[in-house]
Amino acid sequence: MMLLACLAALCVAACALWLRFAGRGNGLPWRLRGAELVYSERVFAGGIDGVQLSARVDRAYRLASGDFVLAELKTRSAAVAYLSDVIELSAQRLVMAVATGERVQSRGYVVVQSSDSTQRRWLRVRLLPREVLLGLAHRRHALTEASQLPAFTASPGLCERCRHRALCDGAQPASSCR
Amino acid sequence: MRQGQKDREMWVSATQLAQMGICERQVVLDHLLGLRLTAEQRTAMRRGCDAHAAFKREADQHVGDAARLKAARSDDRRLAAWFVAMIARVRRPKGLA
Repeated sequence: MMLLACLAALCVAACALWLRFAGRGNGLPWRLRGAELVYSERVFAGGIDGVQLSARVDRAYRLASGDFVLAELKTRSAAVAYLSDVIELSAQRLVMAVATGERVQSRGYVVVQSSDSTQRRWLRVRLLPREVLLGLAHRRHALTEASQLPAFTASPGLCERCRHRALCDGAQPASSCR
Repeated sequence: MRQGQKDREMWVSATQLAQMGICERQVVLDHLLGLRLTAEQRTAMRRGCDAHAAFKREADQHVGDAARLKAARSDDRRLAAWFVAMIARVRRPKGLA
């Protein structure tokens, strides 16, 4: 009896490990295995509540349920997904849903390829809701129209590498970035 | 469409919107001055373009393979149906039309 319980526990642990690490490397995540790759590098455009949005979708997979799942490729040294990736995927989701009328899942993948190899990691992220995205579009419009003041980045490291560092408020030290 | 109307309609790309998650000041300065990429950023951009091209080639290959597999399965099914029909004809008792 004890032996059976140990074997069962081992099986459960093996399954959990497989689920956790499936999709690491260049392979697809287990959720996308068997899914149909329908769109690749496809541009979608559409109007949503007065905002004309366009997006190039790196990959869109159709699951057996009929739902689409999006994947966006990024090349960087660290296998992390940033807020900017989430915003980009969320915009792709919104515009693709509007342009095709298809259901697109609220979770997508940021595929991070390391800069010095072809190794890829598929990171699953939760996408932003429509209202948040449209709010961002309105905020961006207000900033470019100079009707609102832009905020500093939350990441001091970004200031140091910024292409506008010399012009941004008299090149503040990175530590002053909020 | 006139330029003024286009401006009022608020055109934005997913990439431009994504920049809002990096730095709002950069968004404004890019809008005013254009992209002023450093040599390092240009290299990174080129690397990104190459990676995207490879990602696309893989996808095209995958789609092509899937289409070929689908066609082959369809051919197999046709062949199997023809084979079954032939057997049925051969085994059909004489006297039946």
